[in-house]
Amino acid sequence: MSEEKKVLEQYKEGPEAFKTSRTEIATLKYYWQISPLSGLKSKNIPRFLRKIEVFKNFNDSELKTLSRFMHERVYNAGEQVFEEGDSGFGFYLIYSGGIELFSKNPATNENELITSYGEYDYFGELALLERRNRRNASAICSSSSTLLTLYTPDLEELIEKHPIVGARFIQAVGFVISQRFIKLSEDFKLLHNKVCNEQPSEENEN
Amino acid sequence: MSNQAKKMKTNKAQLVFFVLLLILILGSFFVFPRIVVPFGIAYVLSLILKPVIRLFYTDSIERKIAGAFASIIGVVLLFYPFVELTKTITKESQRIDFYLPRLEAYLRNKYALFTEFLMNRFNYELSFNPVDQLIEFGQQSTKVVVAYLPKLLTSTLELSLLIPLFLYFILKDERSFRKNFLKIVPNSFVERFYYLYYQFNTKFGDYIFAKFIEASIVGFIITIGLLIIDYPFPILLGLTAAITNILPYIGPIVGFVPALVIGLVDQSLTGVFPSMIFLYVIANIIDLAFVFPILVSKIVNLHPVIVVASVLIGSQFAGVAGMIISIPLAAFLQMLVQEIYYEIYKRS
Repeated sequence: MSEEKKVLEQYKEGPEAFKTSRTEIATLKYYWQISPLSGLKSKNIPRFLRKIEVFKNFNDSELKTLSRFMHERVYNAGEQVFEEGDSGFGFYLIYSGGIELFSKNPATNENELITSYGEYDYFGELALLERRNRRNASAICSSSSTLLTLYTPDLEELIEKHPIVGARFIQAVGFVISQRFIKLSEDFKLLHNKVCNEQPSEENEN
Repeated sequence: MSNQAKKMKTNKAQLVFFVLLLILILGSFFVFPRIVVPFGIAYVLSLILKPVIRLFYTDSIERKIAGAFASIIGVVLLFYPFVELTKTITKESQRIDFYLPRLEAYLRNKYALFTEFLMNRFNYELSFNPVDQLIEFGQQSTKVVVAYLPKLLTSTLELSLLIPLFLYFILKDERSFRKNFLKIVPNSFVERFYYLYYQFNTKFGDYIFAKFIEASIVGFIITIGLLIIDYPFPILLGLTAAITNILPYIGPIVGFVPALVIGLVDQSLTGVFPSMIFLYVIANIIDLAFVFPILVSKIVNLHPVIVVASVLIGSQFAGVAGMIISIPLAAFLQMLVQEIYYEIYKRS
């Protein structure tokens, strides 16, 4: 019987089974390994990346490689990550905290909230693909946040040194962009339908 | 104190610390030349070796091993040819003793012919003798070099120990150092700072690597060519052509002068003299037509006037080293100006 099965059987029998049996190193090792808290940090970067949907194609070793190219940056609540119109060179993942995206309304010249992001969300992916990227919104921390960043130079280095991981990452960014595009086209369709439906009623009123 | 004011204070403190650290690092370049020179050489070598490291860098090979291996290659690359060449150069240099009196006689003869021509044609007598001045200058320079030789040997020994050490650590720890340094860059301009740092490093690295390859090709062609036509000092002249080739425009001409002088002085070389000129022309045509457009031109897209001006300014500030680094530096400054222009004028 394997060690795992033995432990499971003991577990089914209840706590009494553990009292009678001698504590073995192998048992301790098994519990140590299955514990989500094993290791130095319960939430390290590769584990965090594992929980993000777009990185599902990565294996553990590839996530570890990717995490080595990322930078952990801490922002205060209310601190600006980037401003609309800035040159963009980084892709951000929210490790902890939250981010709000604002865009300037040309009519009122005031910042209007577009969307909010929380833990495990990401933003700024276009900066990695476009040469002279301009941020199309301002990102401000809604609370104290830790962001994981991959800058353009890191991506170039990643592609050069670990082409497979680099290709997977580009694929992941492709997924992100396609998701955003699908969302955008759905919004556009809704808007289009709304405008088309409103126009005949306005004409009827006239 | 409100929360907002506290944040502002922290941001300001971060900025001040970062600026002070930058000033300290840049200032140390001037204050500690004994560290900065070997570090600079190791850095340039690391840039040349980076493409080599990429060849055998995989996940299975630890960065430490990759760095150590590349350092060994770097040391061999730097010192083995140096040691081997020293023997040949010493042998060839001994032959210079044979050429120096001939050069002096040649110059005196030409000067006498020139003064005679001036006297007969224009009835004008030259009041100064540049040949004597030149020979005196040559003797003085030789004395200075001989007196400086022990100091040169000591510093070479020091460099030979420090360069491999620095090279190993640059190759091994450059990324972690960069990552740690970025931690102290304030959030407000970390993206732009990192991008500019990367652009500078890439431009500089690519330029140095391309120039190294270009100089090696030119030096190799000239050495082999001179060996084939049995011209004196093939290795010394090939090495001179390779080193001077690093300088744009004037480099190939400066590299050609020693071969020309030898050809003019030694009457026995009249037969191979045209072949030697042909060889230098061919080597430079190969360089200009094939090597330069493929390797260097895509890295540095500067106007020729800017190239010449930057080389002159570089030589004024830091001699030969200044001439070499001036071009990638000018390319970086051009990019910086373009970025600032883009930021100011095209932002809207």
